[in-house]
Amino acid sequence: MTDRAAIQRGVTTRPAFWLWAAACLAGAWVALDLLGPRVRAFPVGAVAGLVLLAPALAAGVWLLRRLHPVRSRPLGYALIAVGWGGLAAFGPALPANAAFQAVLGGTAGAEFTATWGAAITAPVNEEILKLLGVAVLALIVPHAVRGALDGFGFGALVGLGFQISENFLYVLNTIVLTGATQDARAAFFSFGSRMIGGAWWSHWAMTAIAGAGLGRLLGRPSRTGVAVACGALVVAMALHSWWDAPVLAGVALLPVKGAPILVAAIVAYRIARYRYLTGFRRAAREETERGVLVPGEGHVLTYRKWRRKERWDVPAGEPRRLLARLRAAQLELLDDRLGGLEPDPGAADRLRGDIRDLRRRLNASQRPAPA
Amino acid sequence: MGRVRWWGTGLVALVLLVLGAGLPLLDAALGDGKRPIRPGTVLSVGTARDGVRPVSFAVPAAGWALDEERSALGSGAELTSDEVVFNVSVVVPLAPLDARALWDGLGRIVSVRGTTRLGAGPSAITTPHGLRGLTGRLAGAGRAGTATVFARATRGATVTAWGPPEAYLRAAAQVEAMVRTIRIAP
Repeated sequence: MTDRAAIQRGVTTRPAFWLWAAACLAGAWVALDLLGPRVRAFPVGAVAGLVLLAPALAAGVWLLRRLHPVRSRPLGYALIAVGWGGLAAFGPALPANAAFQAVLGGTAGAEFTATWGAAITAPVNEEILKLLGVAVLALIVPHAVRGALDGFGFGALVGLGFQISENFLYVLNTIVLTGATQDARAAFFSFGSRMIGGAWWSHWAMTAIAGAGLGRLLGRPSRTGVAVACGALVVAMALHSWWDAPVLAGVALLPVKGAPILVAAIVAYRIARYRYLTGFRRAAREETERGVLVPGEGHVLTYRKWRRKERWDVPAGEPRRLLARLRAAQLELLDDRLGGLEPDPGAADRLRGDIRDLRRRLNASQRPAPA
Repeated sequence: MGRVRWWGTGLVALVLLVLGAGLPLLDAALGDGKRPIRPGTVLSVGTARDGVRPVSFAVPAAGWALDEERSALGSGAELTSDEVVFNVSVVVPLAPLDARALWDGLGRIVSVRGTTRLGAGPSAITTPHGLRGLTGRLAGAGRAGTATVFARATRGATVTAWGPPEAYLRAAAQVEAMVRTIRIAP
C-alpha cells in the first residue's frame, strides 16, 4: 500500500471524517433549500455569480495553500477546510443567524436589530462555526494542524470557503434588492463590491486569526495555549463585529474599515511564521548534528525554489522519485516535534530510519553501473 | 492531549447542533415576535441616511402588528393582521428605474415563494403625494392579494399583501389605504 493510500484509508476510519461529510451534506441541503428557488428565479444572475466566483475560489485556494513558507499545504486537506467553510459552516449559519436576529428583534426591537443585528449575531455564530473547521481537520488528520501557522493557513481556507458561499448568497440578495430588474449587472456589482472591494479583509482573515490561536493550542496544549486560543477567537469576533458595524459606511471607506482586519491577519501570520521558521531551523540544526541531515541540507529544505532546482541535477525516473520521498520524509521529521492532537512518540525514530534508507537507495540509484 | 478522536468529534457535533438547531428552537420557543402597531404610526424602511430611512408608510387602522423577526428595516418591513401579510420592500436600482420593469422583476421575486404569482395587466396608481406606480392582483393556492410597485429614478418600493381570500377581502380597504400613504424620499 502506498503512503497516500494509507493516509486516505486512515482518514476514512476517523469519526471526524464522517462528521465532516455529514455536516457538508446537511449544509449543502440547507443552502440549496434556501437558494435553490432564487437560482431558478434568477438564472442569469446566478450563472454570472458562479462564473465570477469560481475563479476567485480557485485563485484563493492556490494562494492560501502557498502561505506556508516551506511547503504548500496538501490539496486534499485544503479542500476539507474549504468544504467545511463553504458548506458545513455556511449551511447552519443561515438558520442560526436568522434565529439569533429574530431573538434580538423580539427582545431589543426591530429598529435596534436593523442597525446592530448583523454586528452582534454574525460574529458569534459564524466565527465559531468556521473555527470548528480547523478543529475537524485536526481530528481527521492530526498531523495537519501542529501549530499556529497550520491553524492560520487552514483557518484562512475555511474562511475562504465560507466567503465564496456567502458572496454567492449576496449576489442573489443584490438581485432582489435591485428589484430583479438587472440580474447580471447586480451580480457584477455584488462581485465588485464584495470580492474586489472587500475580499482582502473578509472571512479568510478573521478565521485565520482564530485558527492561529486554535492551532497554537493543538500544537502545544497548556493554559497559555487555551488563553491564546480564546483570545484569538475573541479578536476574530471583534474584527467581524467591526466590519458589520454601522460605522464608516460607504464603498469609499471600505479600505479604512478593512485595514485593521488585514493588519491583524498580517501580524498574526508574521508571528506564526517567525515562530515556525525558528523551530524549523533549530530542528534542522539538531538533525544535522545527529547526522540525519548532511550539512547544508537544512537550507535546501527551507526553500521550495532550491528543492525544485536540485531535482534537475538528479536523473529522471526512480532517482528523482527517491529524492522527492527523501525530502518529504526530512520535512516530516523537522515538523514532527511540533506536536499536534495525537503525537506519535515513535515517529521521529521511524522517520530517521526511513531517511537513512532513502538516502542509501538514492545514492545507489545514481551510482554508475559497473562496466 | 491524548486520543481525542471520539470526544473531540462529539464536542464539534454538539456545538454544530447548538448553533444550527438550538438557536432556531430557542427562537420558536420565545414566540412570534410581533409588536402591535397603533393606528396612525408611520414606519420607515431602507438604509438610513442622516438617521432617516427613505421609504415610509402609515398604518391607518388598528389590528396590525409588525413582525419584528421578519422585518429587517434596512430593506423592508412585514406587517400582519389576522392572516393577512403586508410586506414593503425597498428597491435600490443600479440604473434609473421604470415601473414596468419593476413589476416584471417583482413577478420573478414573488415566484421564489412558490405559492403566489402576479396577475397580468397591472393598472396605474398615483398616491395623494404624487407617487406613481403600477398595481395588480396577486394570487396563489388558497391565497388572494394585491401587489404594487412604485418607481423613482434612484429608488423604488414594492408592496405585496396576501392572505386567505375571506381574510384578505376584510383587510383589502386597509391595505389599499396603507399603499396610498407610501412615500419615497428623493
